[in-house]
Amino acid sequence: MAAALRLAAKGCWAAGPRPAVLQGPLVTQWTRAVFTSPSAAALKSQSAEDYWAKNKRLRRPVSPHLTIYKPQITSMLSITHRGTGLALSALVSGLGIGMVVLPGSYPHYLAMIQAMQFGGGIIMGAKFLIALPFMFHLCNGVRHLVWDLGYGFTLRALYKSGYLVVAVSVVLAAIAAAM
Amino acid sequence: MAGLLALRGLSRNCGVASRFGALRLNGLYRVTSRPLLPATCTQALPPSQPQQLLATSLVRSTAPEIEQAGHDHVLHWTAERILTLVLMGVIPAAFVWPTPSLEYFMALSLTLHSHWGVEAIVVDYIRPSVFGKIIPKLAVGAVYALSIATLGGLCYFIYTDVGIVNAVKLLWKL
Repeated sequence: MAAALRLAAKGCWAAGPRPAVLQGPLVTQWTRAVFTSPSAAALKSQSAEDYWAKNKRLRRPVSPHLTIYKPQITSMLSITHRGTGLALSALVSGLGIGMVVLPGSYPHYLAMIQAMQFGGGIIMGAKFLIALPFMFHLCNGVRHLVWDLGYGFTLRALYKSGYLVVAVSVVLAAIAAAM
Repeated sequence: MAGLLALRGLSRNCGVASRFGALRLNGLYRVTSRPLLPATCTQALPPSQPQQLLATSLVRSTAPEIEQAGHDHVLHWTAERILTLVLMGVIPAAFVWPTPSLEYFMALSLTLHSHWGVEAIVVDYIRPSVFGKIIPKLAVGAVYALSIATLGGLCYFIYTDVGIVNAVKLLWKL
């Protein structure tokens, strides 16, 4: 009794009167919520407003996300998978559309690059830089397919498979660059 | 292991997804616009939408995929995975047996895989809430145009020029 009075005096929500639907133990409230359809009155007051439009109208700020979240292997590998996919796609589209638009043939342009006479190290470096996105996308793609079968979702497995994918990608790209 | 069990427990409560939901196609849930949603079933919705239990002003649940597609995503998702497996087989096969038919098939698989990927990126980032109503649709149209042009260009390249496999081999001989 005294506690309730103290809470009410402080303006605390815990003590005050509230609607019938919000009374009782939490389990009862949740059960009521799950098995109750909205009343006719509630449905009438429902506006068909889009989530984004409503929050824009109320001029609510968006919480910071990318600026504050610590980069982790999960998110970094995920965005790298997307980035490498996009880069490889650009390469494929570049080849397809480029060879239609450009006048010469492929061997012609290869000869042009050969005439520039790059050193062996530069050529190997370039091969590594081309092979790396492809190998990473391939290895991480396999990791994705393993997830799709339902395996490897524990945090330990995620981190282990993540590091493994990076290591294997670098090794495969190095082998490709040496060929 | 504990994580897997927790995930299993979640799906049992929700009754929406199973561990092999995508493959067995028994997770054919539909996320329609409903005014009130159970508090426990947060799995069924796109993560960006909040659930208000007893709100007086209720909000439509929309998401880019639902807005634009209007039907369930499972078939498309499964097709994407199957294409990925096909592509993983075709690329080494085309290098071992460099026949024109394998080259054309590889070009098709490559373009389709890349198209679905780029389309997903565009749909994810060029959203109506940021760009309005017209630009997202134009962007998706541009992705289709790019993919058609890429496929056409690759087929032209295979027909008139050295072909994709030879292009890589010749480049690597430098």
